[in-house]
Amino acid sequence: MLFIASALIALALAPSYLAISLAAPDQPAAQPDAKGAPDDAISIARSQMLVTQLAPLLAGSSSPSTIIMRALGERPSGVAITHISYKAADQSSTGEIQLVGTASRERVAAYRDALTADHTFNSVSVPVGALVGADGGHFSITIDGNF
Amino acid sequence: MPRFAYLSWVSLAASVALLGALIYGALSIQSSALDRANEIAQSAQESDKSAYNERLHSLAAETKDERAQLDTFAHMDIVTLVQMLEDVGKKTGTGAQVSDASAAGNGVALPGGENLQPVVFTLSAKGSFQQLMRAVSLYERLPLAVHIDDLDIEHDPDTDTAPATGWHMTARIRVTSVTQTSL
Repeated sequence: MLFIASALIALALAPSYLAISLAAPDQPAAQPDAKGAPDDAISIARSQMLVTQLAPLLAGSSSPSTIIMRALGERPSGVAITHISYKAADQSSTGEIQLVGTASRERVAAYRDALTADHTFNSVSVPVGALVGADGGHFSITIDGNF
Repeated sequence: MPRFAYLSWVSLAASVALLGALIYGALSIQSSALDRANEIAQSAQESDKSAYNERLHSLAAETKDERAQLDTFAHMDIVTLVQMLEDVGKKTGTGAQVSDASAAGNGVALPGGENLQPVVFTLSAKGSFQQLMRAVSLYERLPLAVHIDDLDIEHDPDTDTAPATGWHMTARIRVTSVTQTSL
């Protein structure tokens, strides 16, 4: 009886054994061309890093010469500029241009109004002394903006 | 012992042996199945790795020229940078001279061992206002990762009689490049 049971179990297991034994062996996996892979990976990672670091410099930089010429372009006749100071925006502050020169208080006020009307600039400030003529015609204008 | 009993014992022994063989066979099948599953998983992993390497290699080949251009753009030694900045002075007649160069921050380590380092150059130039503005414009367009941090342009009252050279400029220009010179 036990013999017959064993034979039946053997018969039941036979298909599983045959299935595993006769299954076509897997094709050996194509060996990856690992020779140049690390170099390629490093080179591509390096380029990605360069692009990440340099792209903001190339895309975000405004043109100082354009901004300065724009600020000077708003100048009414009779306003003489003798000193221009430009500071680009950084992580902690916006860009700033300071214009120093000589003009009558009416011209200074007109220049301030013209700069204020230009939406390139966020804010324009002039010391009160320059507007009342207390500085002997000397004035300074400070312009803030995203440049 | 009767013959029948003898055959029964022999049959029992054979059955037990056969049962043992079956248990061994079943365990062997289970082990083979596990091995096969592992082989399949490993094969799939290697296949994925191979495909990844092929894509990587293909990407590297396709972008070879662009990466070479990027390297040329970013890879400048200090002497070349100074020469480029001073050449602008010669071209515009402002005689721009670099007076100082200093590293800004620690830079960024690149894969492969180099360092991407911002360097701030301080330079001064003289000329007419138009000449100085042209120089600034050229600095903006240099084929470098260049950023003009500060400009100070002042009219020299002593040169009123010679307006062509009546302005003086001090500029701080930041160039980010892969440099190998310590500053």
